[in-house]
Amino acid sequence: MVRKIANFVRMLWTRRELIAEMTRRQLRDEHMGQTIGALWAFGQPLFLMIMYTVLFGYVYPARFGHQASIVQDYSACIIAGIVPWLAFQNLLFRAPGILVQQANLVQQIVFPIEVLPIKTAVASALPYSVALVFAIGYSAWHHDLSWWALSIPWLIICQLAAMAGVAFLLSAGAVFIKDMKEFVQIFTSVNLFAQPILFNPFVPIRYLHTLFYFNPFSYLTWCWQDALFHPAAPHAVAWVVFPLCSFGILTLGCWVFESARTSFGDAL
Amino acid sequence: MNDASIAILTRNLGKVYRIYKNPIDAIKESITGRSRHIKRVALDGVNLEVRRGEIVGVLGRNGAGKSTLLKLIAGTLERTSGDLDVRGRITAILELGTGFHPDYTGRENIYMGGMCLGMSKREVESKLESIIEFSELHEVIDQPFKTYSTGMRARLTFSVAISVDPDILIVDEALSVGDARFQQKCFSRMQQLRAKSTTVLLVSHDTNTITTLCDRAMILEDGHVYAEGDAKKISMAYHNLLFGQKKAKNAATTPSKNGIIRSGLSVQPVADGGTDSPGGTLVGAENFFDSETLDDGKMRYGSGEARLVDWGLLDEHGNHCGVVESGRACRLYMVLDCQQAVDDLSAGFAIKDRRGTVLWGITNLAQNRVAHKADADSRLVISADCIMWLSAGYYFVTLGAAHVEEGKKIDFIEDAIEFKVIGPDGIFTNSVVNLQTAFSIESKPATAGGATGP
Repeated sequence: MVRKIANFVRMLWTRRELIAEMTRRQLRDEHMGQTIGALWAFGQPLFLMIMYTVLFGYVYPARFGHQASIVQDYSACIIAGIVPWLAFQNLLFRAPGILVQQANLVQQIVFPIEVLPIKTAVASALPYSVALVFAIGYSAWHHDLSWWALSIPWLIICQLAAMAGVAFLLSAGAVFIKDMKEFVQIFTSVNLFAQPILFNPFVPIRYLHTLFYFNPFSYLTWCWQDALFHPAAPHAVAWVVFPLCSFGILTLGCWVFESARTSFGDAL
Repeated sequence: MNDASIAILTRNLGKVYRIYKNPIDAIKESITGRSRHIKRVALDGVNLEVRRGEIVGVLGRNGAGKSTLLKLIAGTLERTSGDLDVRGRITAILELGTGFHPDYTGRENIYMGGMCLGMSKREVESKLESIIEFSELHEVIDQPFKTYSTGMRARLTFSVAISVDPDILIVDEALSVGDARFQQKCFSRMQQLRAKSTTVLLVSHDTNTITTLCDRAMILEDGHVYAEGDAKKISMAYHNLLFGQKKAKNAATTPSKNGIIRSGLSVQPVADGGTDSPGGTLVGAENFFDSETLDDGKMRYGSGEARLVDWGLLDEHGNHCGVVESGRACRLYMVLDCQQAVDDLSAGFAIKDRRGTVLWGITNLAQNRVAHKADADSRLVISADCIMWLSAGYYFVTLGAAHVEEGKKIDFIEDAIEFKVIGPDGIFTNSVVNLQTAFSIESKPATAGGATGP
């Protein structure tokens, strides 16, 4: 298994140019022929961010003004949690289609198909880079930024690893289970509320909090919140669990993908 | 296995597709262990040995397993049984324009296509000019791929694929859409590749492509290697397989050894390929060709409801002849014994030159615009009286009978009659036709006012 994965990684490294090119293409392809083209890819997440900021920073506190004065402003915390989740969600929507929609590439030419999940993961995350910069800026403006922000590059690496792993798993799975896409869609809409993103970190609801510990996505959220929303009490467990899970899922994804690749041609 | 000159080696290669009624059945099966699929054998026991620098053609009807074989070799499908050993970098063009995006320009697609086929960006860059040059798409290279015609797409795809410098090149029908001149160019490029000891595996329906390009060829039929060997012979065998073999097997139950051999003409009735094999089993390549060599390579095929028993070329006195003087009358004839009634018979002759170009042809359908109704157990004498207006040279007559409907051949003999035309004197020796020319040079006094139009 170690050998298999080592080969796999080496193969990906030799194909890095192709991955870069295909990522660029994917971002361009989706907005081909539109007036402002690829700007949409980056503009839309940014727009979402501004919307969330206005909503949680101004509309809700103003609406429930009496409460907002008692509790701390946690809008930066929501922004910190929502950016990585939206990036991940973006991938989850695409992942089941990665191989199924490219059936001709898989069947018709000698093509390194492991490139496809990787480039989809990168292309799903990349548009949120602008949103991330926005989140950092917002956090700084609110004086919520701390030295923890230095961990952001590491978190990006971990998140990309997790996304790639999930892309491998879901894309391979969807070849055999045709309704993967529907499962994933329901999961994503539920999962937004099954992790500590939209909740006030200062007033935790106990039974919900217990539930969060069972959701691997919570650890991702906690890490990002620690990094961007200067933590009173950092989630130490999350900083162990998140990287472990990320690289674990990547390893598993590679292995599953590599084991299943020979049957892709038959199943498609 | 250790022979370094071998590029592709398969031993008993087999592929079985599992067909599930419902995709969930595959999962149920893997959990319960109970079989829930129908098997479809696509390839069974294929042995193939291809050396470096060889161009091998693969012929076969639709569904014979050609694509499956190529995909197994290319590695996009996994074999079910047997051994497969492929040595070297493979480029496969299994489908046109794969990896090409319709909205991108030709140039951008060259980058993407090249990188999909395993080249680095710099490698593509260095080859960009030569790729464009080979494709001859200078003018449109910066226009979107979707605006290209099928032929142009084929040209670009092929140009990219061939620029990879593969050790093994697999081409599936991709060439058939290019125009004749581009095909020619591809052929010569393939020859160059061969000189660099690249192995080419080529699938085509076009036997001409196979004969001009390939050293060797094989026919796949029902997932087996039906025949393998010299490209030319295989092409003929394929022709036979397409047009006669299935029905000929039926005809074999009522053996008809009534061929009459005419002296002066080297014509012998040919045993149909496959008739000597009992009940549906396929013929090995060797058996198949033994009968061929006996018969001067003449091909005979057809369903056998009627059988040609005599044929020939007669001169103006009604004598059999092998030489005709240009401008003289002659008669082509054939005698057809109909065992069964044929409602829509069309019978005729065609004259070909040595290169196989049809120079002339006639059938009762072409002449009278109606099919002939032939009764069972009747004998038809079909003849064509002609003036031999061909010029000096060697010619061949293909003759036979077919159903009008779908052109199903009843009994056909390729190049059944061989004859020579002599004369006329005084024209180019490489003339094809005799125009019965009166040639003159007249001297006229020059008019003072110069030439005026009529």
